[in-house]
Amino acid sequence: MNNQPKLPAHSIWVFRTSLVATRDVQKIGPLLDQLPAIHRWNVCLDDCDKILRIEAGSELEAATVMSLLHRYGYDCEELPD
Amino acid sequence: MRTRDENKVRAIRQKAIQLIVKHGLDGFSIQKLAKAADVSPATIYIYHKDKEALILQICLELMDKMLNASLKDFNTDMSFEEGLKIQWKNRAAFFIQYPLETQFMEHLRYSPLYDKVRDEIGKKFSDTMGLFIHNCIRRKEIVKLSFEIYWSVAFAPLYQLIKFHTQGRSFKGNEFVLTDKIMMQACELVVKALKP
Repeated sequence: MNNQPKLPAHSIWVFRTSLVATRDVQKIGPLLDQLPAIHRWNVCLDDCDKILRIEAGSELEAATVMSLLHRYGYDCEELPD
Repeated sequence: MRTRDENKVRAIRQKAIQLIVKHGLDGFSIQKLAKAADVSPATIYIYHKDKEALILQICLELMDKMLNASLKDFNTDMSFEEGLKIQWKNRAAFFIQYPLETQFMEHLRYSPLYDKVRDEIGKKFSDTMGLFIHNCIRRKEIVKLSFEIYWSVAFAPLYQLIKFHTQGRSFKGNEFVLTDKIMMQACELVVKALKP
């Protein structure tokens, strides 16, 4: 187990959301940018699950992201592995 | 910390190529790929930023593999005839060994995504081939031509012969196999056509 190659220093979180259009992404984007643990994020609007993908330090908690989107009226849940 | 699962990475890659060849780029989605590769969509997103990044990565890896294969035993100081024959032999061997991957690259070639591929791969290969052609023109082995005319004469015949070979027949309907003899016969005509 220890000698297997590891993913890079950030971890990846994948969420299913109810973000629909660019304006939704523009609304929550700046808020995601303010979370210090997040290195990079992107939204796949052409995926039926409207995926929010986040590259972040391992200190990020999924609950933080989910409650942020919920606060602005969007559904958000982690996609199972 | 999650560790990279090479079996899953391989399955994702192979199934993506198969799905795109079978159903085209428009019909392709991460959901369909996940089902076909027997992984969760989340797993695919662990390894790839989005659908476009996945397709581009596969294409870049294949193009790199193909271009390296085409440069085997090739050097830019060769005569035009020798160099072109090696290019033909190497490319034919690659396309025949990897028919699915070749069709995948064909699908990409006519999509807007290909601009990004061209930017990344283009320079290394075009520098090498550019130098080869420059030397051939300098030695007066070939006429100076626009890239489009040169490529259409130098390589399109080979690509058509390979298409006939993978289909097993030509427009005439009879069975066709691309032999070394046929390939070299066509190549010699091309060399002749490009002589000053």
